[in-house]
Order: sequence, then C-alpha cells, then structure tokens
Amino acid sequence: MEQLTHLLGGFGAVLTPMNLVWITLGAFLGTAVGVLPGLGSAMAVALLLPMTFTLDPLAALIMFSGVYFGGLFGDSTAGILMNTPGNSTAIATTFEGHRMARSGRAPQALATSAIGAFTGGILATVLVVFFAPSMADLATRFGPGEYFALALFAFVAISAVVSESPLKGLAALAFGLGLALVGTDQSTGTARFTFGMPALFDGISIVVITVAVLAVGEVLYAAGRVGHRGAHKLIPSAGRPWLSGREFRAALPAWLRGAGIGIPFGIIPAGGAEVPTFLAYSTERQLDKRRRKPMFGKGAIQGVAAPEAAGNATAGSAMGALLSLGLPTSATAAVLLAAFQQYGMQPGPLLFERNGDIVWALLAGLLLATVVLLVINLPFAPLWAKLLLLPQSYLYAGITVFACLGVYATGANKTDLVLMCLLGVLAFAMRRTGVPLAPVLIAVILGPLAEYSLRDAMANSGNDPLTLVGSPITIALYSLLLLGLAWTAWRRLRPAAPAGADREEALETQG
Amino acid sequence: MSHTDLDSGSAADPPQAQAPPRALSFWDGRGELIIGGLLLVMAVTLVIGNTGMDVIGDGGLLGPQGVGWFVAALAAVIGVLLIVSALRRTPERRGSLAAEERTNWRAVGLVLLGIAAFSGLIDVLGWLVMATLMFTAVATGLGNRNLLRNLTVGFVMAAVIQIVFSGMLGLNLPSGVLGGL
Repeated sequence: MEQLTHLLGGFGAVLTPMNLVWITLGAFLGTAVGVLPGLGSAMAVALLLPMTFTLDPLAALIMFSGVYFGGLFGDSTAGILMNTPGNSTAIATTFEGHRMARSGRAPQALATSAIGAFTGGILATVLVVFFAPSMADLATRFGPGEYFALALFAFVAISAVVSESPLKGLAALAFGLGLALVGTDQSTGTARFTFGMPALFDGISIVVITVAVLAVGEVLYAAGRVGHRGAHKLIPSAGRPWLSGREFRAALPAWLRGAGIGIPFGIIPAGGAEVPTFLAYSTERQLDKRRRKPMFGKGAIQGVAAPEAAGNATAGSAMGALLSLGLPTSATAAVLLAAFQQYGMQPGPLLFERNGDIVWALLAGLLLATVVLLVINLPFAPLWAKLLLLPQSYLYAGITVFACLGVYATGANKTDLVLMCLLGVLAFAMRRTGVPLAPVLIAVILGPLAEYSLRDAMANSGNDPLTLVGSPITIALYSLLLLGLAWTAWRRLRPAAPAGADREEALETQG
Repeated sequence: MSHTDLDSGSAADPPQAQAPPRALSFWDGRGELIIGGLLLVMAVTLVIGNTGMDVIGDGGLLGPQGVGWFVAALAAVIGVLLIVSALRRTPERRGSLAAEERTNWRAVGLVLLGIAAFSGLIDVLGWLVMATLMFTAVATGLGNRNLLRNLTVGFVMAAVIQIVFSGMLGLNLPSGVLGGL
C-alpha cells in the first residue's frame, strides 16, 4: 500500500490555503465554461496557459485539472434546462435530462447529473492512484519502437477510428503533423521549414496553436452563425431540490455502470468523453426496455445518471494515461500535456520518479477538486444556469481579448500574432466544414515524439524495420490498431447504428 | 469539440427566416474544397522546404527530411480525395449541406478585421487602444449594435487587464501612443 503513503504525502502538500484557493478557482472556472455553450475546458486551459507562467507549477496544474473536471460537471446544465448541450459530451445526457426538466423534475435531473459526475470522477481517480504507478513501471521498459507504436496508435485512433469521417480526421491530423515539423531538427540542428525567419527557429509555440485553434477559431465560427441561431427557452429549476430514496436507488446502479463504461475509454485516444457517454446512454436504454415500466422517452433518471458518470470517469482515467504514459487521449489532455512541458516536466513513465511529489499532490488535488465541484454544483446548479443569460457578444469579445493577450504575453512578437490569425482562420474553415480539431492538437503534441522515436529506432537497429514490431508491447498495440480499423470498416458498412441515429436526431432538434 | 449552439444574445439580430431555395453556386455544399486546397498548399510548401533544406551532418536513414516527405504525401493524398468527394456530391446532399454551412460573412469579416488590426498595430497604438477596438469589433460583429456601450465595456476590460498584468504580474504590455501622455 505504498500508494496510500504517497497519496497522504500528496494531501499534505496540496492542503495549503493558497492551493485550496487555486483548486476552488479552477472548479469555478471549469463549471462556468462547461455551462456556457461553445466554450470548453480545452479552450479555458489554453487561454489560462500563458497567464500562469509565473505561477508555481503545482498551483497551475491543480487549477487546470479543476477546470478539466469542472467542464464535465457544468456541461449538462444547459442541456437539461435548455436542450442546448454545453458540449458534445453532454448530448447523451440531454435526451432524458431535458425531458425530466420539461416534466417538472429539473432539480432532480441536475442533482443526478452532479452526483453522477462526482461518482465517475472519484472512482476513476482512485483507480488511477492505485494503477498509474504500475502502468508507469511497465512503461519504463518502453523503447523508441514502443513509443512510435503508441503515437501511431493515438494518431489513427483519433483521426480514423472515432472520427465521423476518417478523411476529415486524417486531414486534421495532416495539418497538425505539418505544423509540428516547423523549427530546428532536434537531432541534427537543421533548420526545417523556417524559410529564413528567425522567429520560427524554435518552432511554432504550442500556446499559439492551441489558442488560435480553440479560441480564435471558435469566435470566428460563432460570428459566422450570427442571425442563424435558434432561440431556446430556459426552463426554471424549481421545487424539491433533492433526490428521493427511490430515485437514488434507481440512479445508483446507473452511476456505477456509467463509470464502468467510462473508465476504460480514458486510456484510449478516442477524443474525449463523447463516445463513452453515448455508449452509457444506449446501454441504459437497452436495460430499460426489459423493465416492466420502461421510462426512456419520458425522462428516465438512468439516462442522465449513466452518461454523466461515464464522462467524468473518462476524464479521470485520461489523467492516468497522461501521467503514466504521456499519452493525451482528448483535446484537453493534449493542452494539459503542453502545460506540463511549459514547466519543464515530461509526463510519462519517468514523471513518477522525477517529479513524484508533484504527481501525488496533483492526484490528491484531483480528489479534492471533485469534492469541491460536487459542493458548488449540487445545490447551486440553477444559479449556474443564470450564466446563460450573459450576452454572447461580450463573452466572445472577452475571449478574443484574452486570446490575444495570451499570445502576446508568451513572446511579445508579431510573428506569433500573425500565426494566430492564420491558424484561427484555418480552424474556422475546419469547423465550418465539420473537420474535427482534436486530431490537430494530438498531432502537434505527439508528432515530434513519433518522429524522433522512429528515427532513434532506425538508428539503434541499423535501419532494420522489423525492430518496430520486435516486442510483445508493439505487437499488442498494432493488433489493437488493426482491430479498431476492422471495427470501423464493419461499422461503416452496416446500416446506421441506433446511437448514431439518436445523435443526428439530437443535432437536428438543436439547430 | 463542442457543438456550438448559441442562445439568442441580448441585442442579436432576430433569427432570419429560412432562405428560399435557390440555385446552388459552385461552392455551395462543398466546404471541403477549401480544406483540400489548403492541404495541397501545405504539401507544396513542405516539398519546397525539403528540397531547399540545408541539411547539417548525417541524420541517418530518414534524416530531418524523411517525415516531411511523408507528411507532404499524406496531405496531398487526403487533399485530392477531399476535393474529389466534394466535386462528386449530389445536388440534393449539397443543398442540405449548404443550409448547414450558411455563414454570416459580414460578422466573420468584422471579427477578423478586429483581430488582424490588433496584431498589426499593437506596437504602434498600444494595448489600451487596440484591445478596446478589438473588443468593440468582436462584440459588434456578434450582433450587439450598441457601439458606445461596446466601447465602454471594452475600455474597462482593457484597463483592468493592463493594471492587473502590468502592475501586479509584471507583464509588459505596450503603451503605444498613450505612453507619451
């Protein structure tokens, strides 16, 4: 039980008044961006990244994790009360959640979703505490061949397997890989694709890319939709603000099932919590059909409980994959990885040895953040919904000011600002065409890892390509990859899946 | 990523009535043409960069250029496939896509102008002026027609940021033309 000792040490480090302030601040910010449609935790962390240079690494990282978890707490509020999910991760919750709200059970839906998010987050984080160190131990045996396989796995999984259209996913991946190539080659010192501009010798700053893609692109996209939006009515959340014993007993197994579905998805680069929330939703619906009195379609509490638990469970185990393997499995995790790098730390197997104190304090901070989030969400969800009354124009104008401030603050040079404009336009074009943005971030972050592992593997083995499939770990990863591709092909040749149909229906009713 | 769905903002334009069906122009329902074109531009840029690269030392089998060639090839293939799929799309499908892609270009242009002006003039005119103007441009672009109030809110926000970041966090924001006052 070495982990418990470490974790207690982590609590000792994190339980200072200042750190508690950062956790609470992160929880508040995360809930706010989660509630507001169009803003996500990835964008919030990207905007905070340049402003936290001067902060102590632990303080910044626990705040970011609070934002990550908080985004998944808040996202269902707008979905339940207004039928406009704050994020794609809340679409599955919205089906039954909004029906509950319409039948006068809005407080119960909000409470079910907050407790669900709490259950998923706590269970996943506890599992990470116990298993991440052994996963990191396993990963210390990784050589360049294994890392190349891991990066390739992430690339193909996020762009081809889970993406709506593999072609668009691969297009996003190609943009990201291209951006990552700019700068000085680490192994030979050759200047690559800098075209004589000294400002590009250090490569394109990750802050510039994340801010441009997530914030500037989003603002342009929102501007493009002015005048084309549908109005939505906010259903007031009034009445008995707690769950009855019967409701609790109905929701409890769904919370646990949802968490069980969500946890494994955190370590698969599936682009976040969208896939597991839908899986949890359709599982509950299948189970509901066998009940004597099916509730789905009339506001079933299980349909809210399971997807919410799945969403936060995915975020929890994604933190585990990030810390122990250095593998970002969602856009937010990719931005968090950039945050670690900003403080000179490299997530992955060596992190537990080199920065053990910070890792354990961060895990303790995550558990605390989940509790703080439950406290600020369970009783106050209707108050958070008031955020939806903020004028969108000021909100987006404020985001733009912070985006430019952040990019200017990192380097105070014009090249960064010009790049921000260009990449913002690229992100706008991608959003407008339905090209996913997460593969860009994953490619920018993991591109260099893939390239240098491949080149190291070639150099170490005297250019023998068989070295890439020379260990059980690589063979396992490539087999998983092939299975994923086969599953994708099978899914596409089959008529539309029930969950997919629901989702299209949801998108139509939203628009 | 998120599926943006905006509620009606305070002073936003009323939602426009469904546009009457009209003839499809060449670009309607073919948003991928732009993405494909950009991918091809990137592929060409990578090829030019690779052929003109001044390679230092021995980089092994792949060298500093190897992955560049691979990404160029990937971008070119995906770009061509996207363009072909956009050109071969049926008119019905394009019609429904064009409705989804409908864009308020004036709003996008105004927001982009604000951001570009900030990037170009920040060193000359300073943070306070440019941040206020950019805030106003974005807020106006997003449908808030109350110019005076946009300017005021933007100015207050820019001033607070200047005080907090320059005064308390030691981040240097240019004062520009206002520096001499």
